[in-house]
Amino acid sequence: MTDTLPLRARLACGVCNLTRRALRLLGRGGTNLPGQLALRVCPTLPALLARGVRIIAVSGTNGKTTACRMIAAVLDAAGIPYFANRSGANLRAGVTAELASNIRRGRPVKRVAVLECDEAALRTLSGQLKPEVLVYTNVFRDQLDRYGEVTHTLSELETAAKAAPRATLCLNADDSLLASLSLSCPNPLRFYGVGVPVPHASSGRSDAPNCIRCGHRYEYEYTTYAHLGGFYCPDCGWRRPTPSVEVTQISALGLDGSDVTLRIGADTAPLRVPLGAVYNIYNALAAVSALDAFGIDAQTIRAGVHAAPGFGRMEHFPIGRGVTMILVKNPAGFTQVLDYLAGFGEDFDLMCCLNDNAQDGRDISWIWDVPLEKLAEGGVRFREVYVSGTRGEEMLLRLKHAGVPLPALHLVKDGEAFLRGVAADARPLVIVPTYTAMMRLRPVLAHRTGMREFWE
Amino acid sequence: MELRICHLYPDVLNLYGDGGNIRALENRLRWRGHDVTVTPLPLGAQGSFTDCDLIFIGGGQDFEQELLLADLARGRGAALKSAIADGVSVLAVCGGYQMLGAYYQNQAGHRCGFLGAIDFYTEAGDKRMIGNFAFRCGAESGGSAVVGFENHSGRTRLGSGVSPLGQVLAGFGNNGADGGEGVRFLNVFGTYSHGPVLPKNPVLCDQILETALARRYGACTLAPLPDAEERYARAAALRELFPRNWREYV
Repeated sequence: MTDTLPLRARLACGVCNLTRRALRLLGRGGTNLPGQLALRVCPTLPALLARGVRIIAVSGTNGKTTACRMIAAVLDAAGIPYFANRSGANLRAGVTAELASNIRRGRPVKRVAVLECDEAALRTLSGQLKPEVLVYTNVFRDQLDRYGEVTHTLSELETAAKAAPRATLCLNADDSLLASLSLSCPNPLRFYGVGVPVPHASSGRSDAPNCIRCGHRYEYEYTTYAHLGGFYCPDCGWRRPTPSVEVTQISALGLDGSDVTLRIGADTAPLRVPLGAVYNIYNALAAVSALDAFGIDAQTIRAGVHAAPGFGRMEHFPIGRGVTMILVKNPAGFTQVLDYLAGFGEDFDLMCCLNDNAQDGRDISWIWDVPLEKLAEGGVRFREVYVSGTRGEEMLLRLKHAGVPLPALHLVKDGEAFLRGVAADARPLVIVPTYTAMMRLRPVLAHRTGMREFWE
Repeated sequence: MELRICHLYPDVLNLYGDGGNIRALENRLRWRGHDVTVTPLPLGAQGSFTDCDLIFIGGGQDFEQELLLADLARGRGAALKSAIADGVSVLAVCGGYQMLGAYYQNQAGHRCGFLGAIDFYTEAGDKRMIGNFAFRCGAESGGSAVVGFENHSGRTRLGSGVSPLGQVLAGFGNNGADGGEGVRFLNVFGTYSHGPVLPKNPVLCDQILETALARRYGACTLAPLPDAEERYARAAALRELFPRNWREYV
């Protein structure tokens, strides 16, 4: 069914794969160059490479990588060969390079792809890729300082869906912004959502307070987190659509995972989401919805999600006497980490990495809402505390005010170099990074322990 | 010496780490060997300002405003006004700052009456003013460059007899138009700066403490502190705003 590629496209693939290999030999992964070169040689390359490949494309503001990883875990469990783009390479060039690396002798090797796409990149890619399933995670002004981008993002996602009208569109029913795409897109639709309120979650409706259809203020039957929940407009009647994939009960929300009851169509059963926090329940739902739309049976989906490896939130590396990395994004999460540290049964060193890039949140004042005083109150067995990151100095000041003795506090300029230098007999080290700090530090640890990179 | 700090409405005005200001005020006194007490005064609680030297009011969310106004109307507002007139020191941030003015007018033109302790008002704007920002305090407030994070849609305009706390160096400040940021009135320091503002702006912090100590003990100058970590944190924030010439503002 699939013809071999035209000569120009084969040439472009060759250029792409050779540059990629060369760059890796030089120790430089994650660059856009190979894809850019390939697109220069053959601008229609993505469309040619996507022929004969069943594609699940994932986009949205938050959770793309995690949702992709869960989809991948299920495909692994189902024994379906697939390829996927490595985290971070989700722009046009990165996606193209991933597609090119799947080509041998002018034909695609694997016939299933899981592709994470940046919202803006997807707008131009989706018409060429013609994905079978298009899953959107959420639309957030994910950080307060990104205010104003939300309708822009939404319109890009809308354009992308309309450019691939045969793709089944999986939407978060609890997100009034995203769900509204069902009003304008011609695609076959699936919805997923959480059908119950989430205890102790911080809800803030400022992202989407007013009805996208008529402007009246939304009412909520319940909220889950941020502006997500059982919204309805008392004026025009627009309301949360009924999901086909739904969490109907949350039994436990923990640092390392959550126990929920998940309904897939008519099939209801308990599920352990192997990552903590509410937003990971949503990421799991996005993955389940995509896989359901892709035709994977409920049994296989459940088993696969359950087996998905935890990532970042709490991950252990066999370096020295153990390195543990725990991702933090907000005061609530960091407070849970402090409880974990209080229970640490031996002396350890702590490393806090605070970045203020857009994905971390430009506003770092939240660290002052974390009760870091608990560290210094006694009983917590930390010895040295290292800080790093674009705003590591602020963390230093925060810890000084929290009462951590100054001789134990160290400002580390280069966190990656520091981790490369952790000695074999070092004390256990707990690293607490924000998102983009984790993305920089994890590869160092993975490299040292011979672990695979995200998608390798 | 000893200072009594009142944290007004810590239960509702608690957004964006502004509680860090309390830590800075407390610790900078303790590190110098002075005593300090912090008394939270939540919504509806009994208590007055007669025994306090310094009042801190943080920022909050719009939807809690009504609760807050009701509490102010039950006598708390009048007490706060007379404390201000008596020269009690006040640090008010963002929503807490707006609350001291005459009113807040939303986009539909509806006016919500505020305390009216100081001659200024705030109107809702359509574009939110968000980001790291910096301003230079007036000489009467220490004259230092202050670096913080602003996040507000309200535009505040000061009456003709009222001075801003400082002049904007980068960012928006009171309204993004007239170059002023915050307000300085008697011993009231009003600002839009989160961050929180005091920990990494020790000159401003000490200035506020000194006004409060002066009222109680007569003119005083606080002993200098090493402030190395404060300088690092300032430099990191300033570098983002002024990549080339941040040293001019340290």
